[in-house]
Amino acid sequence: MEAVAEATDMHTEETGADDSLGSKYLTFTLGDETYGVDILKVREIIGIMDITQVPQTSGFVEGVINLRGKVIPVVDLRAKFRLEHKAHDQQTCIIVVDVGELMAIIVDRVQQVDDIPSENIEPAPSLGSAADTGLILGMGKVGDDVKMLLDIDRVLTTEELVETLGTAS
Amino acid sequence: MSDKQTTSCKTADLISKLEEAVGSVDKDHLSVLAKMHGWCEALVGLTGPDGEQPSAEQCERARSTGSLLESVILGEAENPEEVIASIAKTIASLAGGDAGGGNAVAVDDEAPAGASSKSCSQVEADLANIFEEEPVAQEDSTSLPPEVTGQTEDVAQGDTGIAPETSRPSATAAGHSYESEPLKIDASEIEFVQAFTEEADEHLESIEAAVLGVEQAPEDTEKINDLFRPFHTIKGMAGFLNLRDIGSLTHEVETLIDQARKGDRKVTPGLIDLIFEVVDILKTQIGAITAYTQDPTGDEIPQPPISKMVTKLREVVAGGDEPQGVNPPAGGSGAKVGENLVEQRSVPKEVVDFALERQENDKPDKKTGEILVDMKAATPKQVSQAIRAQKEPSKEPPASSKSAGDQSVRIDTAKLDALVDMVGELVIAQTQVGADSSVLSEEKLNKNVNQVTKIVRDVQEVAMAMRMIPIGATFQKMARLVRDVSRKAGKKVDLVISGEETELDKNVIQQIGDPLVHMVRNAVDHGVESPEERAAAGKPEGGTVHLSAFHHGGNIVIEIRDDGKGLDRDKLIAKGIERGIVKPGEELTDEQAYGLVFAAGFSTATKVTAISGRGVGMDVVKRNIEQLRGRVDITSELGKGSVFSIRLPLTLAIIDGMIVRVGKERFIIQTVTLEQSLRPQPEQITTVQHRGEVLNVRGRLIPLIQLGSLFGLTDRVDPCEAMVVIAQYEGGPVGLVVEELLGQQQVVIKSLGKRFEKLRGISGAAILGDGKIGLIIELSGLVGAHHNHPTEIIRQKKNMDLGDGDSGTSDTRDETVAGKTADRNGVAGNDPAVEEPLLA
Repeated sequence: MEAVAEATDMHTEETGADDSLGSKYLTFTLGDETYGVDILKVREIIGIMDITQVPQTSGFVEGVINLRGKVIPVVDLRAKFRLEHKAHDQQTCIIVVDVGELMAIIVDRVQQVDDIPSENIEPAPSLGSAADTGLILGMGKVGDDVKMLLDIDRVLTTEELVETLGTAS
Repeated sequence: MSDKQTTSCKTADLISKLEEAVGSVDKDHLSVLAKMHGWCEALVGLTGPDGEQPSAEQCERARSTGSLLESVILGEAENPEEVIASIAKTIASLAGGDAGGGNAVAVDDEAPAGASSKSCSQVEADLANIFEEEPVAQEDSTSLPPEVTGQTEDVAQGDTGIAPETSRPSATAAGHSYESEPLKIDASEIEFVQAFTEEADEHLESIEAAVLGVEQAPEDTEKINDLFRPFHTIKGMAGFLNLRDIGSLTHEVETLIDQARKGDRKVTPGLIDLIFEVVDILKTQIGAITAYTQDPTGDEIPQPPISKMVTKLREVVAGGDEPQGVNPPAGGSGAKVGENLVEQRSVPKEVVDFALERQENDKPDKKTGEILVDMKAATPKQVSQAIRAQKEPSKEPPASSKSAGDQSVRIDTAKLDALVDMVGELVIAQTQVGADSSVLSEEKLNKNVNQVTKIVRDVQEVAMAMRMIPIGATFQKMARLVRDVSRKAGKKVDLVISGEETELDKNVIQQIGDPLVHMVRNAVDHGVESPEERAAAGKPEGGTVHLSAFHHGGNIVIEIRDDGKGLDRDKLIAKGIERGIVKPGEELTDEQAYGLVFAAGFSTATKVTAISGRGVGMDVVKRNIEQLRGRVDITSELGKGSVFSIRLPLTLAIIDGMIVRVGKERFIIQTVTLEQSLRPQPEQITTVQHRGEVLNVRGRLIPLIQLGSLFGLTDRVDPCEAMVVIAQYEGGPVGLVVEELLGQQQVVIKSLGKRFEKLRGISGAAILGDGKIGLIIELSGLVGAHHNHPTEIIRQKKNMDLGDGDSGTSDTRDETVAGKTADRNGVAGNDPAVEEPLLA
């Protein structure tokens, strides 16, 4: 957590007015894919903890957690991206992000913070209608790896969390 | 200032003293000036046998002299030397008039008016000149066109504090007139204005109390100061915010009070009435501004007759015309205040008796009137009129009541909320520490932890208490409402208030106002009959509405009780059938029948009046109260009256909840809605068309809701092997099937945030003793969800997400959910919640 905070500070100093995609990204994995989230959006990384299920919610909503007295919705990113369900293990992490309000995502494993300059970021490829590439800001290249940089605001806010009763049946 | 020593002095003596003094006086000789001022005042106030009474003209001149002297003393005069010269002239003319009238002043009245009136008008002209020149000269606006001068004149007034405004060339009489301007509030200032209105309301309240104080002890400058200060504060704030009308009005009344404070003006009944009038106008204006700040889209702020009032005040201030006191309605001299109030029909006798009793028992130092006002049984104005009727010179020495100065600090409610939240966390954390096994095994540590626990509890109590304010102010508004509505409806209705010291959460108080208005209005308009009907029914002509607040079992109850005609069950049901709300032939309990008044568009009033009867409102009332997590119960007896009781939680931040377990999740059901819980016998359960279950409790059929399957957490459970919690919601009782009752606990309510706003049946979350979250059940939404979807929606959904193409049978679905749950628990290293101890 401290490392993250430090990184955030450094980032603000370095880039300042630069509004291109080049930035520091917290990278994490879902299965064999690696994703990145703008470090400025990240508030906290915590280990998996008890999650209270909330009825009438969309399938990707895992429930709510108590973050020091705040009740925060948790989204299972695997479910959100329609990847198959995987049992939580020691490496499963909850990343708390600020998308206007605090929300949390469940990821398989948190990797590291990568500094990805804008020249190393390529636009998201068009993969047809199969993948919703609108949620991806771009593809970041770090060495030989390619990381999908997520537009976390869109990932978490474009879809309703609550299944309205009308649509359910 | 009409002291006994001075009354014995003769007019001539006073004038000669003045003459003597003015010859040598200088603007810096404050003591001499003050003495002169006193003499002038004495002259004006002189009464006595013939030969000692000054003529009207002399009085007039003495009064003008007095106000000139005052301006010099206060340093308000631009050119004191000139003013003093003018004073000297006036005094000379006083003396001259005296001489001209012959040796005895007594004959002045019969004396040819010519000479003296001429000198008098000269003096007036002089005075007018002085007043006219000063403010204008000071503003350097002489060269401006008249309209502009007109606008700046108030600024000048505000600065100099010189009372009579005469800068308009149109001279004396018209000089006092005042034009109010359309009110404009800059968008950027709205926040300040809001703060202002809030504060001003408080000040106006203290003014009402202070006026009474002044009336009872007119000689007590401390009391007058008490009255002066709030006006001054309002004026200051209004000036800062450019609320010109309020500024002018308060300025004028302040001048008036200032005169009284300095002894230049006697506190007369007329003056008191005048101040009350000003307070009323200010209230209206501030109310209008409040409304505007809340919804700035309105084009114009309606204006109370401020200009008229300012003009009137200016005339009084300048001319010294004593306003005519309203003669109190008959009431023998020397009669007690309470008796007078009864005779004036302001207050029922019982109430006065009660107040007297209270005075005897616990408030011996308080006056009957004050107690009545405290009880909100009488308005300050009524009491003051009654005191006037008393005509007893107040014998008591001026009460040495020190203005204790409210020891309070204004705090942003957001900060308070944060504090309450944090204290909630502290309590939970503390409980966790207390339950730790290593603490329990160490005796000394355990003792210390217990000590901390106690302190934490105290802190929690204090934090909660900070949000609490008494409901009295809200009740007081109802008093006015009842007066207005009953007058409009042509009825006689007394409002009796009790329990106004009962404290409620500030948020609750803010939100209960509107529902209360509706309900009180209904009680007066629908509940209480017309005097004729009442007489025919053998009741006293005047109806009574009791408004009371009290604590009852951890809740606050607000009761609106009328002695009117009561609710007509059959009429209600007939109307319900007509509206299609009730099926013909349906049996309704009293409760359900009375509950119909809350249905939208429902009104039993045969005719729609200007006040009520449109059926809008009561459904809103009910919804508002439910939003506050309260409920309304109605009891009624035909011909005798009805009681509407609103039950409210003490605070919005905390609820008393029953914690139940369903699957591995825990839910919280508000204790206030709970009726009973039981483990049913198989014969008590009846299945209805294989879709729903009904529980038979001593002949009552209660629909059951399977909480687990409705929420997709568990399969249907056999109620006979589980627990049924029977709870009340507006549609009647409902039984919730849960697996286990875990106990009762106070929980701090957390919002689930706006992303979960659309959840039905869940109103929020709470952090339980072990730090995990429990969801709070909201009954009417839950029943609604149950009705719409007897088959559960959640299972289907979970399937979809997990990528199982078609929705399978219910069995497999449940397994999937359960499997997923089990995974999670395994990893977290926590046992399922079943065994979790519930914190005490």
